[in-house]
Amino acid sequence: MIALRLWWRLLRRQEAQRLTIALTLTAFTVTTGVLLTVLGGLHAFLGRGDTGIGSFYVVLAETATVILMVPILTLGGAAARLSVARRDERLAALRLAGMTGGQVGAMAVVDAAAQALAGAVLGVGLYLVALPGIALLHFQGRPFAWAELWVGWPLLLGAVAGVVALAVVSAALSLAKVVISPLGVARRTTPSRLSWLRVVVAVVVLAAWAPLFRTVTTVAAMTGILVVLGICFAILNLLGPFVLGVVGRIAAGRARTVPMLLAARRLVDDPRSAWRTVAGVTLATFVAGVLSIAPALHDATGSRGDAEGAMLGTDLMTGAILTLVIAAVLAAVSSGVSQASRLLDQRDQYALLHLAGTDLTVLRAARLRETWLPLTASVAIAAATSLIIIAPIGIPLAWSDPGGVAVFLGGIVVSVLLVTAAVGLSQPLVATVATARTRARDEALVSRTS
Amino acid sequence: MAAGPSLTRLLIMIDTTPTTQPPTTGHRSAPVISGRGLTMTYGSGPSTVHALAGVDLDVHPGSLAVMGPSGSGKTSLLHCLAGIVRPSSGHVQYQGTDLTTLSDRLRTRLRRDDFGFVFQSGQLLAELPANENVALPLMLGGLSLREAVGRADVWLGRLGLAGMERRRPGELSGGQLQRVAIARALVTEPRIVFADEPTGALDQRTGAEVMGLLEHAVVATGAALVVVTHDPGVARTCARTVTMADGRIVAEHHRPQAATAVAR
Repeated sequence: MIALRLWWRLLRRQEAQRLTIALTLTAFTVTTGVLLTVLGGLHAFLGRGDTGIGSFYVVLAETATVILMVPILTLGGAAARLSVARRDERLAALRLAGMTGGQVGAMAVVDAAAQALAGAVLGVGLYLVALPGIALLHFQGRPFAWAELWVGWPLLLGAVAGVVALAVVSAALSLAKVVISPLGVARRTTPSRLSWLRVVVAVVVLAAWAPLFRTVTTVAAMTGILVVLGICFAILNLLGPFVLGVVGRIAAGRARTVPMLLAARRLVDDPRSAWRTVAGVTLATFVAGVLSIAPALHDATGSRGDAEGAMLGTDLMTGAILTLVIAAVLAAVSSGVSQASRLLDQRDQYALLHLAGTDLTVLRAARLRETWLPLTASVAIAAATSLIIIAPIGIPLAWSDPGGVAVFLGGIVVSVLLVTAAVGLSQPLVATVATARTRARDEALVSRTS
Repeated sequence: MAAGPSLTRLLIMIDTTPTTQPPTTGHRSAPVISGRGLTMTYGSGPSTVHALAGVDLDVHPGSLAVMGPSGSGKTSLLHCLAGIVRPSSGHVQYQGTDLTTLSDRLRTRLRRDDFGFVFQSGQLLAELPANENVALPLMLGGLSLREAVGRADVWLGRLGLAGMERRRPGELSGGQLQRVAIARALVTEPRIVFADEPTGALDQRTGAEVMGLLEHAVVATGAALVVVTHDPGVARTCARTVTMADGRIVAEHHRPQAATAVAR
C-alpha cells in the first residue's frame, strides 16, 4: 500500500497546512457534535412517549431535526471539501511526479477520512459537554434527564461512521478533477443565471396558500402542519438562491466601495453556496417567525385554563428558539470556515492586491460584507415568507403579545451576531495571507544557505 | 485620480521631514526614484544572506529592465524601490521623501496612488469582470463604480481588449489576462510601473507582444517602467538594462532605439 505509506510520511510534513487542518477539524467536530445533540433531543421526545400530546412533541422534534439536517450536512460537506481543496496543488504535483491517479485518489481519501474521524471523535466530546446544558431546558414542564438525551452506543458510532462516510464520498467526488488531469485548473466563467421558473413556482404556491389554508384546517391538522412546513422549506430553497443572485446583481451595480463590489460579485458568482451557508438561520428564522404568534395563542389557550395548552405554547417557542440558536451556531461555523477557505483560495489575489496598495482594512471589510449581505437578505426573505404564512391566521396576533415579536427579533439578532463573530475570528487570517508572499520569500532566502 | 496622489504627498510631508536629493548621474532628466546604498540581509552569523549588497540605482522616465539569474536580488530590489519592504540599510528617494522612513500605511497609500504593479499571474479576482478588476484601484481612491469602470473600459480598449470588458478572468487567455493587469496598473496614471516577470507565464510570442504593449503604454504616459526579468527577449524591449549578480549591479546597458524596434 504505497499510497498509505506516502500519506503517512507526508502527514508529518504539513506545517503549512496546519491552519487548514484546524479549520477542517473544527467543522467536522461541530457537525458531529450538533448532529448528536439534535438526535439526542429527538431521542428524548421519542422516549417521553408518542401518545396524546406527546405525539405532537415528537412531530415537532422531527420537524426541528429535519430543519437542522440541511445545515448539518452543508457544514459536513464544506469540511470535506476543505479537507481536499487545499491539497489540490500538492496532489497535482505528486501526480506529475509519477503517482497514478488511483494512488493519488486513495491518498486524498485516506487524508479526508482521517480528518473526519478525528473531528468526529472530538464531536462526540462536544456532545458530551453540551449534554448538561441541554438538560437544563424545560419541556413539558420538566428538565431532561441525562439518560433521555443519551443517544446510545449504536447511534453514536453510527453518527461517527456517517460523518466519515460523508467526508469520503465528498472527497472522492471533488477529487475527480485532480485525478483526471494533473494540470486541471478549475476556470471560472460567467455564472448561468438561475431560472425565473423558481419565482413563478414560489409565487403560485404563496398565492394559493391563504385559500388552501382554510381547507387544510378542516383536514387533519397534524399532517397538515408538516406538509405546509415542507412546502414552505421547498419554497424558501427555491426562492433563496434566486433572490440572492438578484440582490447581488443589484448591489454590484450600485456598489460605492470596493468591499461592496466584492461582496455583491461573490453573490452573483455563486448564489447557491452563499445560500447554503445561511440556509439554517433562514429556515429557523422562518419557523420562529411563524411561531411568533405562539405566545398569543398561548395566552388564548391559557385563558381557557388549559394547563397543557399553555405549556405547549411555551414549549413551542422554546423549541423554536433552540432550533434557531443551533442553526445560528451551524451558520456561524459554516461562515467562518467558508470565509477562511475562500481566503486561502484567493490568497494570491489578496497578497498581490495588498502589494499593489490595498489596505488590509479594505480586505477585512470585504470579507465581513461577503457574509452580511447574504445573511441579511436571506433573513429578510424568511421573515417576509413567514408573515405570508401567518397572514390567514392573523398577523395582529403576533403584535397582540409583544413577547412573541421580542423573541423572534432577539433570535435573529443573536444569529447575526454569532455569524459576525465567527467571521471576525477569521479576520487575522487576512493579514497573514496578504503578507505571506514577501514572508515566504524571506524564508526561502534564509533557507537557501542552510 | 487627481485628488489621490496629492493627498498622499501631503500626508507624507506632514509625516516626515524631506531629505536632500541624491546626487544625479548625468542623465538628461531627473530620476523619478532612486535607491542609494541599498542592502538587504536575512538571518545572522555565518548563515547571513545578502539579497542586496549595496545597490545604487536611478530610475528615469522610460523603460528599465533589471536582469540577472534567480537569487541575484532582482525582486528584492523591486520590493525596496516600490516600498513593499524596507531595506536593511540605504535610502529610497521619491518626490523628495525617503520611502524607508515612511510608515506602512503611507507606503501602502503611495503604492496605490503613485505606483502601478504587474505581476506574473494571479492578480485578478475571478469573480469580477475584466473592467471591474481594472476599476478596483480607482474605487479604492474614492471614485464611483460607474466612473471607475468608464475609465477602465478606455484603458482596456487601448490595450486591444475592446468588446471583452465584461468577460471574467476565467474566460480570457493568458496574454489577455496580462493586458487586463497592465490596464489595472496604468488606470491610476502612476509615475512608476513595477513589473515582476510580467511575461513569465506566457509563451515566447505572446510574451513579446504583451511586453511590447506594456513598454509602449507606460512610455506613452511619460511614466517610468521597471521590469524584473530573466528573459533577454524582455530586456531587449527596454531602453536600459541593468544586470545583477549576488546582490549587486554588475553591468549596465543602454539601447536608445529599443522602443521603436518593438514589433507590435
